[in-house]
Amino acid sequence: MTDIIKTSKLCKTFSNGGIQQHVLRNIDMTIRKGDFTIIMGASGAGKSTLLYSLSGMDKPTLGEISFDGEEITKKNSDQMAMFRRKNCGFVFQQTYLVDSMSVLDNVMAAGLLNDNDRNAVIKRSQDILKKVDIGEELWGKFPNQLSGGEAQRVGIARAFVNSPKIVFADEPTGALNSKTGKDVLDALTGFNRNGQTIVMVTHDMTSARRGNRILYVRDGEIAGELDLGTYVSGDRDRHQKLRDFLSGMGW
Amino acid sequence: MNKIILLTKSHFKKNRGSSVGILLLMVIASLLISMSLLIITDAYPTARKESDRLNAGDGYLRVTTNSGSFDDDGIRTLMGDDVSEYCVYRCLNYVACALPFGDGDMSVNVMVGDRDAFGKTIGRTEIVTEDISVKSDYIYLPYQFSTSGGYSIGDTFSFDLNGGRYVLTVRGFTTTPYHGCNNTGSFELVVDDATYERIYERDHEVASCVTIYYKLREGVTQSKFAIRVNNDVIVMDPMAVITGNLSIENTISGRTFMSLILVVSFLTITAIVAFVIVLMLSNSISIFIRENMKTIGALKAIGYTSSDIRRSVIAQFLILSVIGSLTGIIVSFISMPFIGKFIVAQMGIPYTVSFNAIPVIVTVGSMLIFTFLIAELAVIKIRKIEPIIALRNGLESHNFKRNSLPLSKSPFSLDMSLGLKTMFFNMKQNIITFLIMGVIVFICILGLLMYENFNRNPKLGMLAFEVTGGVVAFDNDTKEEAREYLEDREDATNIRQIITLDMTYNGEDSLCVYIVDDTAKLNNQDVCYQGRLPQYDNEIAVSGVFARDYSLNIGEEVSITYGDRSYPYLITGLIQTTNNNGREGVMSMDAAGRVIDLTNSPGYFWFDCEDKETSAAILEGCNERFGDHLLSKMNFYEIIDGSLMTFKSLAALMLVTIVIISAAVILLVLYLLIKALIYNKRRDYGIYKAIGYTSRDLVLQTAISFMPSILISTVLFSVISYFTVNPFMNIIMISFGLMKCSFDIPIPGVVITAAGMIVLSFIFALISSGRVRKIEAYEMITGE
Amino acid sequence: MRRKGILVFIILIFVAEGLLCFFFASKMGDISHDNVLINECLKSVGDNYGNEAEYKTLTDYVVIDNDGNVMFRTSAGLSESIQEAVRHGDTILDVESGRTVVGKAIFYNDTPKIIASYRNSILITVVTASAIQTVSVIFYYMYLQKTIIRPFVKFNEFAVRIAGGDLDVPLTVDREHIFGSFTEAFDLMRSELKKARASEKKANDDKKEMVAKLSHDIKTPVASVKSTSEIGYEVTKEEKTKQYFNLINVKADQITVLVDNLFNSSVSDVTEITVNPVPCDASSVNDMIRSADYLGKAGEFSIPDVRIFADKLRLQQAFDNIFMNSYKYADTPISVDISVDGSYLAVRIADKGPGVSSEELPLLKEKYKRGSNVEGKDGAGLGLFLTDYFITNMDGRLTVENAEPGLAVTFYLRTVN
Repeated sequence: MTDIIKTSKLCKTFSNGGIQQHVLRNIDMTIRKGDFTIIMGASGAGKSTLLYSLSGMDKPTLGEISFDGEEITKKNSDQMAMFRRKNCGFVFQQTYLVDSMSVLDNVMAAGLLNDNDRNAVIKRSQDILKKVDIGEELWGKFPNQLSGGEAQRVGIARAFVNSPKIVFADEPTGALNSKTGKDVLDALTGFNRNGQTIVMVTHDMTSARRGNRILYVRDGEIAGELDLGTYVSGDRDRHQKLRDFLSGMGW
Repeated sequence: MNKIILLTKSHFKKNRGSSVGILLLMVIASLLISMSLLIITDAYPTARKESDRLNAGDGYLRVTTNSGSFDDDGIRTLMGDDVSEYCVYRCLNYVACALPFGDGDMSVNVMVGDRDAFGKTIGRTEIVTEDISVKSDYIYLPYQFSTSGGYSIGDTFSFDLNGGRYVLTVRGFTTTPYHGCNNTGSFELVVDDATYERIYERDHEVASCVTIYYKLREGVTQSKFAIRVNNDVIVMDPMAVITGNLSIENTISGRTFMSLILVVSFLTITAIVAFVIVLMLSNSISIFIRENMKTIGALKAIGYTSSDIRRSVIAQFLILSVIGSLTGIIVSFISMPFIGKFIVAQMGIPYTVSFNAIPVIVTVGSMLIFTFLIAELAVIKIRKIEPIIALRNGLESHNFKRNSLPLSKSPFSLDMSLGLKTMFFNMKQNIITFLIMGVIVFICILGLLMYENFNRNPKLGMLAFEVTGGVVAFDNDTKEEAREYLEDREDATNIRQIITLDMTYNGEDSLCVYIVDDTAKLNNQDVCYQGRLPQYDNEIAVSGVFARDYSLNIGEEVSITYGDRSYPYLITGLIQTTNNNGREGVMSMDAAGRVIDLTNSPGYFWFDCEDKETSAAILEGCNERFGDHLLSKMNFYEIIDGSLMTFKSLAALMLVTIVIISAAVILLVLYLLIKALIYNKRRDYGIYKAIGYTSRDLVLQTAISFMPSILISTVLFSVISYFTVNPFMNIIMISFGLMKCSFDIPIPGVVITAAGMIVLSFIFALISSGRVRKIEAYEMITGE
Repeated sequence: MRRKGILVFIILIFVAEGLLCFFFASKMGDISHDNVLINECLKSVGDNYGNEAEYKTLTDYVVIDNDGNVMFRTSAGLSESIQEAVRHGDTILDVESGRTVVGKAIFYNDTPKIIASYRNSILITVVTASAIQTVSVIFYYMYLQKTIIRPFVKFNEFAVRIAGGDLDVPLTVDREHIFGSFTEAFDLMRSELKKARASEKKANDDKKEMVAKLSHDIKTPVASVKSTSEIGYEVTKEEKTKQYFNLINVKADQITVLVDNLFNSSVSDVTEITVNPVPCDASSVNDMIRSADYLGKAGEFSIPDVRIFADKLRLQQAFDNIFMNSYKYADTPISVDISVDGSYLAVRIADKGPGVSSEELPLLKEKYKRGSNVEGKDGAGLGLFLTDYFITNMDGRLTVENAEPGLAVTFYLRTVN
C-alpha cells in the first residue's frame, strides 16, 4: 500500500501565559492509503493536535507534512481550505452541523463545494444519507431536532459526500452511548471496507478495535504501533492483542 | 454560487432578531437620506420651479405714481434696450400695511388688484383653489394664507387699507412668483371687480401703481439695470415712489431662506444619525462574526474558503440594505407630503411630491456602497479565523487571557461586581455604547436648541436687523415733540431713531443702509459678527455677503453715494443680514450727514416695551396725540406672531423627529448589543442560573453592565454638547452662508434631556435584557 | 499591525506639528495698524476735545495741539513731537473738533513689540514641536526596549543557562512573539536535551544499581567461600593445603574490598559535581532570584549589606530549582525574606501551595525522592537533593518546612567579614 500522508519532524507548541507546552515533538510518521488508522493515547498526549495537524486544519510549529507528495504546511489558509474541500472529510465529536440549515442542506453545503450542479448534489447527498441510515423523514429537520447518533451520522454523511481521499474523525463516538456509537462505527467501517482511508482519534477500546493500524501517542511522540489486520466482528484474539499492546504502552 | 445562496439563507435563519434590528436601522438611515434628498431636490427648489412655471422673468419694478408719464411710450423708453420683453400691470399698492395673518398681523407691502391680475404674461398669478359659488365681495389671497396664515375658502377676511376697512369672503388662493410670501416683502390681493372699483375710487390718488415685469437681455446685470432705472424714474416723474425693484433671485432666496435653515438642520441630523448607524452596522457585523465563529470554523474545516463565507455574509447585509433602503424610500415618499407641507408652507407655494429618481438612486446606491464597504471591512476578520481556533472557542496557540476582576478581591456587592466583570469582558461594546449615546445626546441637544431658539424663545436677531417692541413714524414737524412724548412715557424704553435709505456703491450696486442715531442702543448687537458697529461720522458696517462680493475688509474704505454726494466710509465691522439679498449696511446719523441732509426727514422711532398690549397702547397713545402727523405705526409683537408661525411649528416638528429617531436608535442599538452580549455569555448565564441566580438578578446585572458607559457618556457629552453645539451650529450655518448665531441652551432642558435619556436607556436595557428570562439554565449551557 | 500604528502615529505627529506651525504662522500674518481702532481713538479725541476722561485709550498715542504742545498722552515714552514721530515711523493724523483741525494725534508705531511677540511665538512653536518629537522618540525607544531588546536579553540569559547545563528553566513566549517559531524550537531543544539527559542519567543509574546489586550478590558467595576456606584452614592438617586455604581466604578478602570499592564508587557519583565557593556580595542574590523567578511571582524583599561565601553558578542553580519546584507544585505568589541570622544570611522562600505532608518532609532532600503530589509533572527528584548538596558544599545549610499553607525553603549562607 502507498502512503498518503508522510510527516517529517512535526512539532506543535502551545503556550499559556508565556509557558510553553510542546504537544508534538518531532513526529515522523505515515498514513497509508486504504487504512483505518487509529490514533490513541492518554488525554493531553497530543492525539487530537496530531490529527488536526495532519489534516492541515492546524498549522504545525515546525516540520513538514506531505499529502500525496504535496507539501501542505506552506499553504495559506485559503489554499488550505481549497485543499481540504478537495481531499478531506471531517467528523467531529460535537458534530458541528450548521444549526440553521436542515439535514439535507448541511450535507449539500459540503457537496456544493466541489460541484455546482445542484441536482446532482441533491442526488448524491440523498444517496449518502440513505447509506448512513438517515431516512427521508429526517431530511427536512434541523440538527437540534436530531438525537446525538443521528446528528453524528449526518456529520459522517457530510464528511463522505465528496468521496474525499481521506476522512479525519475526532472521537466521533465520544458523546454517544454504546448503541448509537456502534451505529456510527459501523457506518465508518462500512466506508473503510469500500477502500476509504480513515484516520480516527479515540481513547475508547471498542472504537479502536475497528482500525487495522493503531498508533499510540505518548508525550507528543509516537510511542508504539500495532498492526491488527482487517476488522472482523467478534474476533476475541484481536481484542486480546489490542489489550496487550495498550498495556505495554502504559494505557 | 449555489453554496453561497445556501449559506446566506442560513445566516438569515440564524440571526433573525439581529437582521430585523439592522434592517430597521437601515430603514431609518435611508429614510433620513431619502427625505433629505427629497427636501433638497424636490421641496426646496419648489420656489424656483414655480417661478419658472409662472414665467417669472428676471425681476419687476413697481412705481407708485399718479402721473401720466408712465404710459406705454414712457415705459418703453424707460426699459430701453436692456430689456427683451416686459409686461405692464396696473393696480393699487400700499406700503407697509398690516394684514391679519395667523395669530397676529403681518406688515408688508400689499398690492390690490382685480381680475386683470390673472392676465399677466410675465410673473403670472394663478389660482390654486377657488370656490366659484362665492359670487360677490370676495377676495383671492396668496396661498401662504392657507398654508400658514390659518385661512380657508369661505372664511371672512377683514383688513384695513389706508384707513378704510374691508370685510370680504375668501374665494380662493393664488400662487405668484413675486408676491406670495412674507419674506419677499409683498402680497398680492385680488378682489372682485365691484370692490376694486370701490377701493380705486377711494385711494387711486395715493395708491395707484404700475408694475413692470421684465426679462433682461443677455449681458445686462440686474443690479446695474436697477440703479439706472431708479435714476430714470426720478427723472421721469419726481413725485413717483419706487416701491419695489426686485430680481427673481432675490425673491427666491428670500422665499426659501427659512427652508434652507431647516434643510441644513435636517441634513446635519441625518449626517450624525448616519454616522451612528455606520458605527452600529460595522459593530453588528463583527458581532455576527463572533456569534457564528464556530459555524464559520466548521465551514472552513470542511473546505469553505474565507472568500466564500465573506461573500455570503456580504450578500446577507446587501440584501438587508436593499430591502431597508427601498422601505426607507417608500416611507419617505409617503411621509413627504406632510414634511414637505411644513417646508413649503413657509414659501406659500402649493406642493405635491413628484416622483424623483435622484433620491431613489442616491439612497439605494449610497446604502449599498456604505454597507458593502463596512461589511467588507468588518469581514476581513473572517480571513483571520483559523478553523481550529474557532472550533476551540477562540483559544489561540499562544494564549494570554487574564481574569480582569477576581471576585475574591472585589470591594463591591455581588450584583455590582458581576456587572462590572461583564463590563470588562464587553469593553468594545461599551465603547460603542459610549460613542453612540454621546452622538445622540449631541443631536438631542441640537434639537433642544432649535426648539428653544425658534419656538419657545424665538431668536429674532437672527432673522431681522433689529428686535424691538414697536415702530412709529412722525412727520418732520412733530418729530422732536414725538420723541419727547415717547421718552416721557414710562412703558416705552430705549427710544431710538432708525431710518433706512437705499444708497449705492460705486454706481454698481445698491446698499440698503440703516441709519441709527446711536448704534449702542441697538438691542441686536449680535448683528455685527466681526469687528464692531460704527460709532463715528466716518464709519460704516456692511453685510458680510456684500463685503465678500466686492472683496472688502474691515479697515478698508468704501465709497457710498446718495444722490450726487459720495463719501469714503471706513468699514468697522461686518453684519449678518438676510434681507435685501445681503446688500445692507449700518451707519450713524452723523455719518449719514456726510451724504444726505436728514434735518427735513420724517422721524422713525423704535422703542422697546413689555408685551404686545403695551406696544398697542403706546401706538394708540401716539395716534391720539398726533393724529395725522403720525405717518405709520407697527406693533412688532404682532408681526412676530404672524411671521414666526411656520418657523415655530418647524422647530417643534424637528424636536419631535429628533426625539423619536433618538429613542428608536437607542432602542435598536441596545437591543442589538444586549442580544449579542447575552448570546456570548449564555453559558455563563446558564451557569449562574444553575447555581441559583434568579432571572431578575441576571436581567438587572446585564442592564447595569451597560449603565456605566451610558451614564458617563450622557453626562460627559451633555457638558461637551452644551459648549460645542453653538460653535457647531455656527460652522454649519456660516458654511451654508446663513448667519452667525449665538443660541441659548437652557440648562434645565439639558438636564432633563440627559436624565430622560439615562432613564429611557435603562428601561430599554431592562427590556432588552428580558430575554435572559426566557431561556432555561440547561438550554443556556448546552444550546448552540 | 503595531508597526502600522507607529507609522500612523508619526504621521499624526507631523500633522500636529504642521498645524501648530500653521497656527502660529497665520497668527503673524499682519503687521499693519488696526485703522478701525485708530479711527475710534481719533474720533473720541476729536468729539470730546479737551475732555480727557472721554478719550479712548485702545492703543498708544499722543495728542499735540497746533503749536506742538503735548495735550494728552496714554503713557510715557512715546513720540511727543512731529520730528520724533517721523523718525520712529509713527502715524500722524489730524484731530478735528467740529470741522476744524485742532491738533495732531501721533499713533505709536509698535511694530518692534509685535516682532518681539512673534519671536516668542516662533520660539514656543519650535520648542513645543521638538518636545513632542523628543517625547515620541523616547516612547518609541521604550517600545523597542520592551518589544525587541528585552526579549533578546531574555534569550541571551536563556542561552547562557543552557550553555551552563541548566536545563530546568523554560523559555517563555511573549505576546509580541517577535522571534516566531525560533522561540518554540529553542525551548523544544531545551526540553529534548533535558529528556535525553534524564534518560541517560536513568540508564547510568540503572547500571550502577545493577553493579551495587551485583556487588551485594557477589559478596554473599564470597563470604561463604571465605568462611568455608577458614573452616578448611582450621580443619586441615596438611601445611600445603593450609597454605592453599589461606590463599583463598586472602583472595576472598581482596574480592570483598574490590566489591566494596565498586559499590562505593557507583553510589557516590554526584560528588563529582564541583562546588567552588568564594566570598561575594550578598546583593548578587537579588539578581539570581530575579533571574530564577522568570514568571515574576516573588514579592518585594531587601538584602542586608553583607558578604557571603558562595559559588554563584551553583547558587543560581539552587534558586532555579526552588522556584521551578514552586511553579510546578504550587503556582502561587512567592514571598522572599532575607535576613542575617548569626553568622549566616538566611534566605527564606515560601509559597502558598499545598506543601507536603509532614511524613514526607524529612525525605525530600534525599536522592530520587519526590512528594506524593507529583502526578503528571516531570522531574527526577534530584532538585532538592542537589540544592542541599550545593549549599552544604558552600558551608551553609538548607532547611525545608511546611509554612501552613505552603512550603518554605530556607538557605543559610555563611557570611564572611
